Amino acid sequence: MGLHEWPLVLFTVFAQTAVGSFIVMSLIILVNDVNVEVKAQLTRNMFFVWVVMGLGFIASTAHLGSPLRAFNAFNQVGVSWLSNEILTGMLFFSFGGIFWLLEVLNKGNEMMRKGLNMVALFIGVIFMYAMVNVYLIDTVPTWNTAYTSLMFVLTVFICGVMLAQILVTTTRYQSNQYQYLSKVVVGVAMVAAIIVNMSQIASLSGIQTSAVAAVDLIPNISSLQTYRIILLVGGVLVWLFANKQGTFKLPTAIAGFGLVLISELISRNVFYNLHMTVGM
Amino acid sequence: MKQYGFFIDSSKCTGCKTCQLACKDFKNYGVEQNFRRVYEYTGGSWTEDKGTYRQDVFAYYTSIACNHCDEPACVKVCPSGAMHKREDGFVIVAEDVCIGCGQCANACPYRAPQYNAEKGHMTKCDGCYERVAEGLQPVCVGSCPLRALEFGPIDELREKYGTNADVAPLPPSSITKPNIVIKLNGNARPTGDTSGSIANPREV
Repeated sequence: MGLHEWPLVLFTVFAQTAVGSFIVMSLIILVNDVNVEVKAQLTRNMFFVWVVMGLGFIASTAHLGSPLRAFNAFNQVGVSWLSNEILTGMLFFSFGGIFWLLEVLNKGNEMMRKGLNMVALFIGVIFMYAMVNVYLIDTVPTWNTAYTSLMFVLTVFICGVMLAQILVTTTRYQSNQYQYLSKVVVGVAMVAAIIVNMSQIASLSGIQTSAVAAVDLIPNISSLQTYRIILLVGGVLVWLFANKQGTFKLPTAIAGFGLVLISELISRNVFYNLHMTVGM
Repeated sequence: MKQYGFFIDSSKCTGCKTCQLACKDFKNYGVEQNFRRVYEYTGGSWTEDKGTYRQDVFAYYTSIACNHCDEPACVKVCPSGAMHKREDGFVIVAEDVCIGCGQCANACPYRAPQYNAEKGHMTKCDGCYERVAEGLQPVCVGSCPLRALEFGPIDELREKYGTNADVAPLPPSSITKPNIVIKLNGNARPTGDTSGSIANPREV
């Protein structure tokens, strides 16, 4: 299995993680009437969301043969999903970043910051939608399936919710309902991801051209996805253990999240290596 | 809009790859790029017939460059607009605009757009549009010792040779509407055939 698309592996997984955790943390701030102190802690920890997003964008430039011309990527907004993806990604980063900066510096009025937060939230969702569509190319039968959409969305749920939970639990925000919901969402998404992975492998036998059979693209796909599933389940269990009975063990939770992240990166690399066209 | 195209006579092609090399020489690029590629599709096995075994092996060649499609998959996905269809119907990449993301290569089912690592952007067959504007043939066409390649307005080629653009291992022509006409080899297998395979994957 090649690693040639590593910049995109990192970019897509990190972006999905960042958007997912931003959505969760924003909803906590927007929906709940959290006090000033807790809100300050939440926004302080949101810093790590932007670190993840920033790393994703830095990685993405390594994908370009001519990174100095990166701005040309906006030329086909409205026509090319790749343009749409990059534009919405940059807008998400900009609006979210400005919101975060104003919040941290305590500048601008409450209404404006709330507005920016909601705009960033909305654009983040469109960003994720655009990202899926980049890969739904009608001449690429292994990508142009519901599995692509499902896998991308499940990464938002799994990695996003887990990162948010770590960032939120290290603040003084206390809500049993939120903690419970995080665990349920991650658990359900994890089971869904395993089902999606297995059904996708099974679906490959139906994709074949005169030149390529999808089953030959990654001969060891089953064992790779098995390792991925072991890491995923193991990571989630470690994370759940870190959250067991009141005391939150931060290093253990981070370790669990790290295992899940590695699992997602493997799965995404499998995805990129499943590229083929309807031709030769 | 004008539209040029290629006629590929697969019944004449011997797979000598002079077209491929003439292109490489004229465009002056290295081993990584092959704007025109000759696919060798081959297959066959032993079959039993009343107690005797006969072989039914087959092989034939299809010379493919960019087909300057009516609905180019590469243009649809290009984020920079570098990949575009010209007024004269040629699909070319503006090499001074391209950011080298490779999405066109992901989408094209004919492998026409190719990444040039030295230049940092995509390159592809431009139909030798500069030569064509001077009334000359694309360099691959003129080089073919078997006269298996022809070039001209696609309407004229279709009038002369019919409209077939489907043969294994090419994708169904309905997808991108390529401007090619293929005269089938006697051994030709239909698009989607899986009884054979590409015998020269490292050459194409």
